[in-house]
Amino acid sequence: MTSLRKLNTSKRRRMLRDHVAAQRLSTNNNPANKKHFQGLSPEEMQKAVEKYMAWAKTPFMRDFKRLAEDIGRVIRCENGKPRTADGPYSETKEILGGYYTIDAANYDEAVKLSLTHPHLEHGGTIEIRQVWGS
Amino acid sequence: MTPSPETGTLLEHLFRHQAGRMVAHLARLLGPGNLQLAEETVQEAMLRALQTWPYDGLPENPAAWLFRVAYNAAIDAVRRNQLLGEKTDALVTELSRAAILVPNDPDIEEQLRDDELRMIFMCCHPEISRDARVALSLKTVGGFSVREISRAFLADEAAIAQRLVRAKRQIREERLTLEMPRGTELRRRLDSVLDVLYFMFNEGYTVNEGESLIRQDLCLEALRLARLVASSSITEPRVDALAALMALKSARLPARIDQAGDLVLLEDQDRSRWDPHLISLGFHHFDRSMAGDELSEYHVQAAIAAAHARAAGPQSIDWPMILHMYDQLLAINPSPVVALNRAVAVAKVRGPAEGLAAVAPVLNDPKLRDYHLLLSVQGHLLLELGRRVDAAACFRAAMACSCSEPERRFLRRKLEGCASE
Repeated sequence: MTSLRKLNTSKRRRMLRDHVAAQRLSTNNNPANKKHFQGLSPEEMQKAVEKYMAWAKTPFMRDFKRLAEDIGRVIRCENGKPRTADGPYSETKEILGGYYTIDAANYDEAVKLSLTHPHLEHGGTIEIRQVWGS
Repeated sequence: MTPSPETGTLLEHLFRHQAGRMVAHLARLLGPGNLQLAEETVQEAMLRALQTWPYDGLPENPAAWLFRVAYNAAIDAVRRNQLLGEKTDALVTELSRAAILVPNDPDIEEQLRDDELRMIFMCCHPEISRDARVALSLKTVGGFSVREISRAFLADEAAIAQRLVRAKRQIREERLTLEMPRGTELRRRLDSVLDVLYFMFNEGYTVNEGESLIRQDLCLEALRLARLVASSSITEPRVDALAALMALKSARLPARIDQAGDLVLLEDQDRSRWDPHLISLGFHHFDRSMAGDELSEYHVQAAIAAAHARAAGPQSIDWPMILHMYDQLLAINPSPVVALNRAVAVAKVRGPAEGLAAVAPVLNDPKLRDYHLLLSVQGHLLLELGRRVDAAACFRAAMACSCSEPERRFLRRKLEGCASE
């Protein structure tokens, strides 16, 4: 189980110095996205699978994992007491499909590399975060 | 059907071919009235593949994986679906049993081929309109999407979708079954199947603005299905004749358009670019079609295609034999298009003047009104006779008809040839 916490702005700015950017893909389960995939023929689906698989073999790839298809849990401290709730995303369309860790010098490069991901051809969303360590 | 695990790549068209078989198999288990559900569960399996394989890697046997996931999706849907009533438990048991089957097993393979065959025969039920038969066969057995079908036929996507919805409703309401017909009904249904496959092939083969890649797939899918019928116990020699015709003509597809995207006439094609595998496949089916006394239109057309395939070069085409075949074809099917094609053979054997005389009877046929190929043939023969002004008028008129861009460029070159010679 991967914990995905929201980062505050100052922390994120500091992280820009590092050389690794992590990228998370929202899954194909949001209704619009799903409808898009249902309109594809088996041939087109196979082409899509092949493209997604090829992307995992790109030279800037460090690591990648699939995430469980649910909205996860979030733990918050309220009045000094930890409280667990569903989340952090409330909308099912924001469920994350998986993440990749890729090598990139900065956000600009990470965005540029991420623009080649086939997920975008199918109306998917990609979120990019920079992580410590290189 | 296994992938090569070393390279981690999928077999070409794996999804398309497996989708057709999965839908056919599930439709038999769920009942043809639930065709839509069968299609949805197969779609679901492919979507699951997209969500997992890119991260987890290819499963050892992707086809088996897809089957298993599709069955599980079907089991879920059946459990949820109250319509199936008391049959639910039995169906879930049946589906669970099927879910552990592996599609590469020879016995299962045979069962799947049988399911696919039944599905083709149901899709080609004479109760369904011909356009819908074609669309339904392409969608359920061929694994083409609505968008691909509409692109191949230059038709509106919504119209194709509507046609499919109506056909599926018809299957439900008229309780069409996957039972194989018997006796005279079998013969009638087989003819309908062959008619649909022939139409599918010709749609793919005709040069027009549709996307060439999809159109080629259409030809090869029609050939695959014809071969499937030919390998079944209910086949007749004319099925092999149709398969031969399709294979021999498909072999020419790579040579039909040159590097500049221009049309190359049969005689001028680089024969080294003809697909040798498809040619030998064509002759294999052609030989098999000779069993028995039957002489169908497909037999004659296959014989003409075989005469072209047999010739080592344009000089050695047996035109007298081809003309003889066209005479027979005209006797079986006295259509103006056949007469026009026969006129080309007449010109090859007896000269352009006689060819032109053979074109004359169809010149005013309403079916060939504004038909660019008629004017093109006429222009070609006139040019051979040195009647350049008349020839130019024909090519100009041909260009005014509706035709594809490569054809229009071809006609323009012919027109320019009239002036320079």
